[in-house]
Amino acid sequence: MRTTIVMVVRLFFKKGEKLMNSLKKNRIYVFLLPLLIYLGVFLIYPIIYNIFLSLNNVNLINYATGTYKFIGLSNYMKMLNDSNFWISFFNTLIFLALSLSFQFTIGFALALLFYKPFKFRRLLQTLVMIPWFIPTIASMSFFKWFFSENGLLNNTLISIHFISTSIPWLTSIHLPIYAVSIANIWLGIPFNYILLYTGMQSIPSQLFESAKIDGANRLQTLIYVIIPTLKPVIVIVLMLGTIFTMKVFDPIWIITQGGPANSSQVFSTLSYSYAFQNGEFGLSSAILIFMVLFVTLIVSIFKLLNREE
Amino acid sequence: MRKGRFLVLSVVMILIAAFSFAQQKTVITIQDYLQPGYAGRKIMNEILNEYEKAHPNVVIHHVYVPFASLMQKILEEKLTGTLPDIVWADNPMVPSLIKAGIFMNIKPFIKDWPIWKEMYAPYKELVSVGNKVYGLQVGTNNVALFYNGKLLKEAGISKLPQTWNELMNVCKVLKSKFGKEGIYPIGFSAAPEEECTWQFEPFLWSSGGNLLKLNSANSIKALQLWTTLVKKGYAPREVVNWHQGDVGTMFANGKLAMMINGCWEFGWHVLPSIRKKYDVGVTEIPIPSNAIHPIVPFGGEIYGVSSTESKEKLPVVLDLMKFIFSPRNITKFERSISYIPVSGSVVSEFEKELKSPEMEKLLSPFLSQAKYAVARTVAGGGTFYPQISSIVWNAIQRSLIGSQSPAQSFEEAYKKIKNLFPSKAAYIQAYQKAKLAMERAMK
Repeated sequence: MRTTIVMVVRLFFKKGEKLMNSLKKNRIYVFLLPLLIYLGVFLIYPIIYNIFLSLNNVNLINYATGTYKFIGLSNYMKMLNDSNFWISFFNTLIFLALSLSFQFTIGFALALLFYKPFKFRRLLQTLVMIPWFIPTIASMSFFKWFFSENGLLNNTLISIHFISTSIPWLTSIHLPIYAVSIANIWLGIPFNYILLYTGMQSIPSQLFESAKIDGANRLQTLIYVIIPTLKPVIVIVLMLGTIFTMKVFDPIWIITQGGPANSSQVFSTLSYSYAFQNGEFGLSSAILIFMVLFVTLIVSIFKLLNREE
Repeated sequence: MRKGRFLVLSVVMILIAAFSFAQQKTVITIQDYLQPGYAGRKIMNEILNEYEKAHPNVVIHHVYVPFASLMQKILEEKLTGTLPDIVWADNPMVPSLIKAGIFMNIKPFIKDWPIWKEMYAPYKELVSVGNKVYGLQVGTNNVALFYNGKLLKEAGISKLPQTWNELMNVCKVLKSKFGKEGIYPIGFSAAPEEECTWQFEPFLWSSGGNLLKLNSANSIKALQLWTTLVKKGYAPREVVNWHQGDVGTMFANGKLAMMINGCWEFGWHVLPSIRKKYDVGVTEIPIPSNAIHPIVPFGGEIYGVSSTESKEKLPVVLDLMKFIFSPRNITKFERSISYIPVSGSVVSEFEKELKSPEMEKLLSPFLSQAKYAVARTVAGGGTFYPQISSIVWNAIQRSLIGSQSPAQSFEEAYKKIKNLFPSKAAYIQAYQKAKLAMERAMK
């Protein structure tokens, strides 16, 4: 009996020692484990579950009673035949193109402006960050009033005789998506500015000196020194900007709720409407999966561009 | 070392005692969207505290969930088996939540309660499926026409508009008098959500229209009225972005001479100071000349018992429900949120509570309209109502912003609504049910 116990304990400790050696050899995976668990629970599982929902006829009632049925790609077919989906598709493209281009251009211009020190630079840098300090509900409520028929924008344009009657920024079929894009541009400038500014700070000063010696003017310095050196940062800014812009919900929902008549719906707001206003969870999930694939495609293109360099 | 052990032991013993003590009390959770800081929550808390004082072995947790998150929350709770004991739901959600198995059938327990026995038929119909009853309406509200008495007097308007023609004439006079000051004759909510459909329904139903037959002449007539009000500048285009709260704010700031809004406004924007400042009055919703009286949707919420309620707690939960729905307490609650009673057993208590001739006069149009009020889900496709409402508000918005004519938008909406139903027979059944509800309300 005593011999058996000693043998079992020795065997246990031998196995334990083997495990410890294996862990030491593969310690990188041990350190990655918490992150992998986090990604699994909060990223992979929700995506898989959404795919599952999109393949079933899930609505409020049958979701609660567990009586939904598998319907294959029917939700995707319904989505592609839905005029609201196509409105949101083109609106998303407009929203993305306007937001990315203006946020990046203005952010880059501000980064260039603040690159060299001047009087009141620090104060102005703080003011640029204001969109991040103000709660979104407050700032977007301001924009709702700003764009209204008797709001600040129309009253200003009328007072300087630029227009004679108010422009229906939020009450027509074509303009609301541009109005919410402007609001989103304002919101996203600090993000672009801070990343590009930080990137510029890490450009070696010798490059500027060499360019100066070679007789390069400011524009040439920008084109041949700054932009090429900043390219990896630019790609990351645009890539992250794409992901964040595609997820945008609050500004649009606060200003127009996707209206009037779905004219300012984008993927995120349309998906929300179908889920929580209509109770159509299956259709809503199909839109979200489409959105994820769309974003993945755009991000892959950015990564490809970066890799080629 | 000894001191440390003693301290740990003491803490553990205290925790065990507290846990055991807590286990002896019955904990009841009641969940709703009565906002903190809102009079309704304050009064409901007073009622619940009074119950706790009278029942020392009961602890009540009054949980707040924002309106926009309530459906989500209830669904999560159903899936995780954590539904509160008493569940609150907005009227349009009720049929879907009953079908989703959220509520328990409480008919055997409440059938002899005065509030149920004398409850008006439409409110019984909302919470009933066959012979089963799944909740009790806490009170009701509806919409009427508020007016700024001072502006109307200044414009020389002595007769309040009761028909659509009179409404257009009054708006014309108000626009010519106050248009340059940026004051609009009328405002209503046409935001892209249920509030738009809810505010439109009195006009639709009073003209003989039907949510399930939007391409009928009467339905299109109602949309034409709203479209004309916007087109002629009597109502601002901004109505497509205004929620009912925004309409109330504009009225309270003197930017609207009239507004369509609900009786809850007396506790929100149309406070005593505003009523005095503008000499505010209320009249029934204007109707077409050939109509008999306005037919309005009724609003309000229900409290129901969770379908997963335990047998042990059920008697206490039902006792609390009975306490909340006693004439004294339910009247107190209704008064705090400016709701009106849904049961004959409560009316006399409610009238006693009013105490103010001013409030009697202001609430009178809502009370008279409540007699002919219809449940939205009964007249709007039952569990399909949320989707139907979405189609309707989008159609209304398309007409108001001029991208389609009223006839075109409602024709399109009618086809979309018909396609929601799994079969032609199901659609016809829903249409007949809606038609019957309208006919009953017309009498």
